[in-house]
Amino acid sequence: MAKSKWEPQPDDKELLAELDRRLASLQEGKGDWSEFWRWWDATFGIKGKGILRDFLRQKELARGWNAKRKRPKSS
Amino acid sequence: MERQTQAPKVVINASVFLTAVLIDEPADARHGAHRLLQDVIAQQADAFVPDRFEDEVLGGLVEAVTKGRPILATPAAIFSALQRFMEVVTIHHRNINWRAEEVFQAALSWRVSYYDALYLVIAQKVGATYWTVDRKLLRFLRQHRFPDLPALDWIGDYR
Repeated sequence: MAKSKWEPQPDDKELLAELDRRLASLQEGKGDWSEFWRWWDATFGIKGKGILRDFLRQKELARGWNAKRKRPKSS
Repeated sequence: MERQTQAPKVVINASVFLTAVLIDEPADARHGAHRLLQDVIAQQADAFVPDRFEDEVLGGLVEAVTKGRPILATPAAIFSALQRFMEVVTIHHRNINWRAEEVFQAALSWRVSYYDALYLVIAQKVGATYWTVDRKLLRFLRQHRFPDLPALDWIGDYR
């Protein structure tokens, strides 16, 4: 069956249980963070370029730095 | 060298959490985000965020899974995975830890958005360093040298 991009899937439960196991192990000082992040990327990673740039651009607009001020008309 | 006895305090912007899942973002920013998150999990850093943090991460995640492609887990699982890291941060609440008026005044004084100011006010209150992916914001704040700003840094330079 094709996996929906949006709906939670039964596999998710297993992935999250694996995440909890790995984090618990790292909190105890066991395991390797580099290996964890490789697994994290392969499991929870999102591919796509420019996503963060777009996210930050929205924040920039909220600052109003680019707003142009209208000069008052001279009488 | 003297050993540090107290964990450093950090305020984390939502962009740092998003960087941890966006695998096509620059490696230096991603490595910094990873180092910070692992310090938070290992209790080698005390992390603080405002109560709107989770909403902001969720908003960014909606954008990310709409524009991008999750590798394996569903968006719901990716959010649950990020929540594992949110569980170990201290959340600062409006009217308990911060007031809208002071954030509003800070935003006007520092010439940033209300939501930028919210993170900065929390960093100022707890004496934390504010970590963000947003280089433009950092450049702006450093150029203006506002005297009452908290310490702030780009996530790629974390440790």
